[in-house]
Amino acid sequence: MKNIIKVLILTLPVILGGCAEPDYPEPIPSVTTQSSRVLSFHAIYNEAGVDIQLDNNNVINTKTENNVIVKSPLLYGKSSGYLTIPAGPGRLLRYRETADSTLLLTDRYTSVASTNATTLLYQNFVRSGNVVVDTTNTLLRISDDLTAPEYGTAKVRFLNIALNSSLEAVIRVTDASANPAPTNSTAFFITTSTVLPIPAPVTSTDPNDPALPTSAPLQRTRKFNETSRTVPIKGNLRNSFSMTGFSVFNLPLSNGNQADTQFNVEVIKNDASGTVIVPAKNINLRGGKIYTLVLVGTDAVTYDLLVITHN
Amino acid sequence: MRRILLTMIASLAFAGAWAQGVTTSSMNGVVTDSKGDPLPGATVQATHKPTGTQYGVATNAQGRFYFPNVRVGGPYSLTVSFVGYKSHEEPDFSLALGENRNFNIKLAEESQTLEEVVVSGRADDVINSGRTGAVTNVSNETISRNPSISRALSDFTRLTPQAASGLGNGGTSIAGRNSRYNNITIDGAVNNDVFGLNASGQPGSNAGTELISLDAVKEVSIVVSPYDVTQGSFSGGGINAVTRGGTNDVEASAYFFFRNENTTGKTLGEDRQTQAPFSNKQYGVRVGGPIIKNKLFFFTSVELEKNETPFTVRLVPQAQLTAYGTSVPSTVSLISQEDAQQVKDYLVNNFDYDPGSFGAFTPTSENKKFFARIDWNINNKHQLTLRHNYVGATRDDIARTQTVLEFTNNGFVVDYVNNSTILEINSRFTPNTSNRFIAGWTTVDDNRDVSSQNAQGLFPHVDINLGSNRIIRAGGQRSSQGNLKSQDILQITDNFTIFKNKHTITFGTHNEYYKIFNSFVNRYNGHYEYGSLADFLGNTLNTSSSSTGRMRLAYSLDYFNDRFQAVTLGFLQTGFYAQDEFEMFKGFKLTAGLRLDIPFFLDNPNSNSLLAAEFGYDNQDLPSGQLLWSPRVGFNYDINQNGRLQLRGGIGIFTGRIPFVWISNQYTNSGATIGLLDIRGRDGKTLPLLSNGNRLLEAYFANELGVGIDDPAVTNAIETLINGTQPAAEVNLMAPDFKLPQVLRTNVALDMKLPYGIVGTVEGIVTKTLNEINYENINLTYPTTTIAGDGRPRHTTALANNKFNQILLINNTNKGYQYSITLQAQKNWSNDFYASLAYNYGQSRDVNSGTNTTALSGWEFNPTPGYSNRQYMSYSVWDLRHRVVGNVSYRKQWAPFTATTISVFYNGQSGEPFSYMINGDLNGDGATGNDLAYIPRSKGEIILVPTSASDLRTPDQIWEELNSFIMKDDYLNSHRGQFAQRNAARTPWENRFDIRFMQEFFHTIGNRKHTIQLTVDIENFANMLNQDWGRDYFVQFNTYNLLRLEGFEGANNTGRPVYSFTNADKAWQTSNLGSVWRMQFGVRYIF
Repeated sequence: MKNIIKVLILTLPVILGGCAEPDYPEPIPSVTTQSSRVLSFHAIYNEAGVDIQLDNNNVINTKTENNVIVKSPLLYGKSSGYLTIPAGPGRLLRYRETADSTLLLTDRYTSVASTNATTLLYQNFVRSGNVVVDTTNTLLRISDDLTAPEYGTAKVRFLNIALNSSLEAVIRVTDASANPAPTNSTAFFITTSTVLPIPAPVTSTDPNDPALPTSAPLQRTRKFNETSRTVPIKGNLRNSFSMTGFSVFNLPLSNGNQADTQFNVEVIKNDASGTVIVPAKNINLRGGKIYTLVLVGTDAVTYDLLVITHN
Repeated sequence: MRRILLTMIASLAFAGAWAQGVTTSSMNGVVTDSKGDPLPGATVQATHKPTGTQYGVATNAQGRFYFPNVRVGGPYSLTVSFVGYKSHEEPDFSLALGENRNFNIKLAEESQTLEEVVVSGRADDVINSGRTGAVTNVSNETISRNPSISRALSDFTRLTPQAASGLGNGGTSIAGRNSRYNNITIDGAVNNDVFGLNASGQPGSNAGTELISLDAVKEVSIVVSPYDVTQGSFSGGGINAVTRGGTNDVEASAYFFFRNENTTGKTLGEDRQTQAPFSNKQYGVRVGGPIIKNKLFFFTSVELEKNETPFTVRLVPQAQLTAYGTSVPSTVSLISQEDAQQVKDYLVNNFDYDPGSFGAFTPTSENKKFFARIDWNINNKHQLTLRHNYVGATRDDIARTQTVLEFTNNGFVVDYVNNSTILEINSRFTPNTSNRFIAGWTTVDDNRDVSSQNAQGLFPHVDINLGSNRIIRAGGQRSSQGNLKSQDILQITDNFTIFKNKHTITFGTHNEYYKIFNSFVNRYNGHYEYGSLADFLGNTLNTSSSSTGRMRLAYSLDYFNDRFQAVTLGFLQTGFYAQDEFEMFKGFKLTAGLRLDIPFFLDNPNSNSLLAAEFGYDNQDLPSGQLLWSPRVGFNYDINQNGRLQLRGGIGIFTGRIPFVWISNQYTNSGATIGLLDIRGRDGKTLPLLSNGNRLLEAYFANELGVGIDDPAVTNAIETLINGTQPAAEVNLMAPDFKLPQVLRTNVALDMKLPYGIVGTVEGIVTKTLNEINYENINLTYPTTTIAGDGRPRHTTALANNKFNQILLINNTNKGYQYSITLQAQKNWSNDFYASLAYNYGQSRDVNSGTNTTALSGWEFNPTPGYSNRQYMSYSVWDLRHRVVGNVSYRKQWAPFTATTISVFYNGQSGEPFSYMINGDLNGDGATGNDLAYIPRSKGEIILVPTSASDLRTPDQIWEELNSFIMKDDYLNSHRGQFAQRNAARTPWENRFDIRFMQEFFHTIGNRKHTIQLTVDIENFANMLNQDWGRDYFVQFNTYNLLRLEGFEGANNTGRPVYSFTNADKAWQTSNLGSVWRMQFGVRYIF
């Protein structure tokens, strides 16, 4: 019997000895971080320079002057260039007036690692139901495909953010000689309102190659906030949508990637009047480059076509 | 032997039940001569004086005698006589519930002098040969003197050092186990919340009632490790109460207790406010006495309780609300009177439906308790007890907060009725054979009364979102239609005992038959959710993808025959046992027994053929017929045979029950019962409010098809719906080999008599899980990747089979253990003084703490550091750690007519355990509340972003705050670089003093003493002295979201997780009502 008692008493420490920490896996922590890139473009007419803050930190659009880092205000019609944003959702990009730090806009940005995007600061309508009651500063983000175009081509897209909800804009591109050009470009601006796929780029060293399109430059109706790609955007209150589609724009082979090629770009109303709202504007395109053409302005304020160069 | 077998068979013939509850006491002893030689044939006569009940026997060949199943309490007298010897009388002693009092009596020959007679009947329920495991007896004296405001049994079970409250989801956790794993009996009748939906596992608590009037309770016994195999049905502890019976004297008492907001401490903080108004009144009467003196007795009690708590939030006009601006008082609703009136008018004018009032309202809970008992001394061999307990309770369930307005007709009444009848017959057939028979029939109805809701016909549940989280609710409450639960419980117990030589051999059977009825269809009456007040007033439920508008309507898959598909579940647990209790050698008593419990599931859930086809599981293959063996051995060793030093202990298996809601889940969630129409995301379409009561589904299709409600096309559409492919549904299953919880428990204890009548105890208890409930989601994919940043497994897709949602399989785990070490010193009642002080340290580990009611919540809210189907053992929510419990009571009679009693109860214990979690589905298993946080060592180990666009903190500042939070928490700071462990963190230590002052005035008229008692009970007395004392801390659901998962660095949830952190001082909150003092006044008249 004493043995039984001993066994019972000994049972306690034996079982208590099993009181180890929970059987949890060992974590494998990491300190490696990823990032994305965002280009901010100032398209708010009459708005002075803007500073950009990231996650409530100091201004991140800076430059070095005399070995000192100073703010580099983002001006109307200019881009910040691509700024590196730590990856992850919930990133805060704040846009403040350089002059007095007045907060213009806050962007809670989902920064997806290894992606590129353009954020446009512009004016949009405030509506009550379908009635426009005011305008406000707002943001539009489009994602960027920064894959370099093939040799001798540029990638271009068109975005209409003019403050005119009824405006359907059409772009007409001619070369320096006012000829519809370039004849060897892919279908860049399509006249039909039907959304068509962009054909694959066609390149050839032979101008007479039958594979190259021979028709006149195509035009396409662009509604407000609609881009040159196939995303059918309705209405004008879209603050976020994905748009990576750039049209491939073939350049004269002689220029290749070495020099700018000048084109005349007009924006006209897509109606019977054919009113030119942005007169022919010289825009230089270079091979290997990526551009976004942005239509801004209103009936009251001159329409303009701004150019974002992405690389 | 043949007779034994016959008895067993006869017992079985009663069918359907077990024997659990302890309802009696016992006496045993040995009579010897002065030389110590046994005296066979000595006459031993015990008399229960209050009832004149007599127990007589002659000692056997070993000079032993045994009185099993005698009345609890006393006083008793015991006389021993033998020819040629001087008789001896033990004049005045009482027996505790479950006690087996041992007497060693030496008789002197007639010629010897009186001084040589030695008698050692030990009036002690601690050092007692009948004791093996940990037991706490709560005497009637303790019940009447200790503080108790709610007058609940739990106010007395807390006297057990190993029994703690304030853990998990409430209730009393014994020996570190789930509070639902206790077996609570009153007079042997099962009084658990057997279905398991009542808060804290206590039956009737949802209706705000106790199950019996405390005035009807005589004694309570809390057993932790009884090696007596007649006790069972628990893997936690057994709580056994017995009721009062009548005696030869007529005794009666009438009482009244009262408390309100003015007898309660003010709110905490600098700006202390009087608590919200309420009033609680309890009043009752009890009376007992003889019907036939020494033969037939009665006892009865009636108690009423009413609790009123008026809404403190009121609606004001919009103009006043606007005037408040951002400083709206907490007593004013953020919903304007105008908005509420518009809703009411619209329903009245357009649907002829009055949603009820939005003005002042006083939710009330009331209960009535009636108890009656008859005790019949049929003859010297047989005693019969028949008693009935009735509890009827109602409680208004309706919500009013600053942001939620429920019209009165959206509320329901919790309607609870419990009837329990017990018949007990204790027999002593021969001096060596006895029998105890208990039969019980209990019915419980636990319903939601919606008669006021449906007085105008069944109306859909309407939720109108007003913005800023403000919501108006009207119509029939969506989860209350046909919400009925009932339990019928038949229990039969029979224990046959043979006393032979040194052996007391018991054979018995205990059987419980349950008939569980459960009807519950959420959204039976349709549930409309309007995105705005304008949508509602325009009768256009906007169901477009841009709106939160939604309509859901549950329908039976057997729509034309059975709208509710209520579940009726028959369950039988039958148990058999045998044990021998014998004195192995002098002073050493051994109890060895074997118990077998066999559960049977008598009804099948609806067959789910798709489940069988896709997963190979037959949901009708139930775990019936499992043989659950419970061998137990216990010992008691009076080391020096002088009753001063006792070693006791044992080892054995205990088999318990689980709440039936866990079982009924697989009947209600068979995936083949109820479908759900979910209307949302339909661009360009709206839906009118259809108020066609029970024909809402027809009305919906009539509206969709543009036909009349009786058009055959409607019927066709419904048939197509119910016969078509149903939306993926959750399915619950039990593994075919699922076993009810079983534990192996062992304890060793040393009891010793110390100076001044103090008894000291050192006790260790260890419990090892053998079978515990575990939830597995068998439709969960295996994680194929890991999370960059902390390495835990991650699922790229949660569900393996899209034809189902989660498929929860209940199976077993053997992981888990509990242990406790207790030091206790107690001085039993003497000279009107009682004191007890105990220290207990215990730990508890498990895989799942079982605090949820549904299988889905049991799985999806169980914190995990990785793959949620893997059984990670960690700390339990029932992990007690340190507990100090003290109890002192002293009565002083100042004059012949008055006396004062002061009783103090102290409980100090470690704070409750909780887990540091991530809010969000980090591991991709489809559950957003089960991922434990990784505790970063440095800033680089965690990616932090602001919580919102208005959050002005930089990531560095957020880290500083998070780091500071971690540094302030001992647990977090000492576990950096690890996954936070489930329930490893704790809230602060809690102290609580409860006090009762009782002033008695008495006067004897004739031979009857009349007493008036004035009482003041003060709970949390320390808070009365200092508002910082007596704080009650809690962490809701035992989980604190340390971090919120905002997403991942990369696309498709790749890269490191990105978190936000909301700064806080601490993880726990302070309970307002639990942290302030509460006082109750009482007056009682006794004669």
